[in-house]
Amino acid sequence: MSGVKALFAILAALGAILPLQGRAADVPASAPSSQGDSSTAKKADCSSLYGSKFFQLGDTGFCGKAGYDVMGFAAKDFAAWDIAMVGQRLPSMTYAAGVPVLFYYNRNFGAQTFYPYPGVDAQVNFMAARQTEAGPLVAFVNLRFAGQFQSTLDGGVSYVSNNAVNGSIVEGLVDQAWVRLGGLEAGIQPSMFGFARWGYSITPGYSSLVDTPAISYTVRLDDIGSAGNAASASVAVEDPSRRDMADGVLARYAATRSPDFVAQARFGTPSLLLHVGGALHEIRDEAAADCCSSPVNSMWGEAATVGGEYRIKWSDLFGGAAGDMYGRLMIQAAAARGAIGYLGIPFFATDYVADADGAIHPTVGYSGIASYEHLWTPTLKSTLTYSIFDTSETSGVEDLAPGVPMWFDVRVRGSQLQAGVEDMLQPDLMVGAEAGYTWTTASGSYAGASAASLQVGYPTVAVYLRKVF
Amino acid sequence: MLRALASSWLVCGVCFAANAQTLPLRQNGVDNYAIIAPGAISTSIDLWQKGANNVAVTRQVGPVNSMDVNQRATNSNTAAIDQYGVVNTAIVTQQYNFRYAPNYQSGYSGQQTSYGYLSEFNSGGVSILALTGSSNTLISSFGRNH
Repeated sequence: MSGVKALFAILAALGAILPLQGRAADVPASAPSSQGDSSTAKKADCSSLYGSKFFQLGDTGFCGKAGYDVMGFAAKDFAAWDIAMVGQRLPSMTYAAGVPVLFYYNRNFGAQTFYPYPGVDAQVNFMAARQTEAGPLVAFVNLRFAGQFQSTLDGGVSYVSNNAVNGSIVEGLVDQAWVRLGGLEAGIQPSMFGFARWGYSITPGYSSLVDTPAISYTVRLDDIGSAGNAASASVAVEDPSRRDMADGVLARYAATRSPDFVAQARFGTPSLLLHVGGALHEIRDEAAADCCSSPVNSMWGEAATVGGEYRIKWSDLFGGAAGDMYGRLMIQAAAARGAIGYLGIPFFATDYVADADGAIHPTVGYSGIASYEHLWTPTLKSTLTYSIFDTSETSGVEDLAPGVPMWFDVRVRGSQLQAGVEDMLQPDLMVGAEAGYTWTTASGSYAGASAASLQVGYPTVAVYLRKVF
Repeated sequence: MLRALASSWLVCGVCFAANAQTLPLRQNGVDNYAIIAPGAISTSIDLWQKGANNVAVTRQVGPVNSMDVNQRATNSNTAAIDQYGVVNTAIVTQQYNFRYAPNYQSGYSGQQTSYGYLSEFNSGGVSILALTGSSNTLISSFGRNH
């Protein structure tokens, strides 16, 4: 385990052993210290300070809140065919490491997607908070179990986790576990790169929203210009391994030497939230080094994002005719070079390609999402989300044999449209349905010769029942 | 006596190669690339390429190696052949201005053969074929989860 990974493991463990729940935003940053004389008074203090669901945690001075969010769903994926990628190192007379090449083709997924499948996304969390002289002390843990049962190629059924980390369901179980004192936060927490959400739909759009071991620091300014306006700036060092997009052949990361450096700035008003973020992601490759004793080659990948969310009460625009309808719109775009893991897209491209001589070619790409949620009545809402992505992955010109060059240039583009409706049957119990359509196109060239362009498209549908507390 | 021994060794080797099952490989895209590098085993390979541009890069390191490359192109034929064995035989036939019916079909396949892993990629006239041994088969598969 590298030094950086060990550090993050310690931080994750530190966060996991402390009592926790909720999100930091749930706790007022300027809440005064609560020191009542009676237990009734203390309970009243916690409720008045942090909200009705908070309660006193004995005589510790902490207020606590427990919660859960359980969603069961049934879905059908109509993708009989989809684009699949194959990375290969072609043997070369010139280079021992082999010349990298990336193929794309239509792969049959019919056996896996023939039947509808059930799934679950269950989360349970706990938050503890108290005021200190150094500012609010907050601890939070969220455990998450998310996955589905689906058919396999051989006709069987298997469980597929939707939140495994590095292939480990157990590691993915600890979704968040962090401690915050003032503006300093340590543990497994939402990355500072991502925006607040990946669209309002239940199934994620093409946007990065990752929980990762990290240390972050945030400064916040309130009441800028007028009451209710606020701005914040954050910096973080984050675990780079959760962002790695490597296949082990075209790209294989060597031991981590540096964390990802991530920064974020936000400005908010009661109806508007603007977000800008950036990240540096170190690439240290050993895909070629293992084969030909070339030195480990490194460079920095980079990513940037901008986003905004606007909330509107339609009666402010159209008067009483709009009734009590509310809406909110979010738009986000991200671009990356050598850090495709920050785009929040399917695994169609590696972060980079290591040439046979060890040279690194960073993959470039972007993603974008626009999502709107409309609240028709206090209990009925609908959502519409459209996302896009584009990646371009290339290699350098290298000889298979003297005078026989090979290189590739592969581009994969995609878009996704999702529409959903959700009704609140009773407080904290929702039922909903969502339908989507996904388009993907791949094209490329090899040694300058154009290959065929492939297009696939397929619909998806899902129904769900969700209970939160 | 020494010459006779060497001759019999050579004849024996050629017989072995001839008796070994020959692996036929065919390409008829527009631009054909065949990269053949099986492991350290005796191999007998018959490669046919028909297209606008044909490239064959082969490297055999078994004890007995046999390679028969037959290229027919409208534009260019290139063959680079390395053989590091006790008994090596190579035949290269190249013809030009040759008419052909190109294969524009798309697809990818990979399978294990007695001579190693054989992968074939075809797309819009580009054909890339690779035969690799256990030590130089470096392949990954990825994409969207379903």
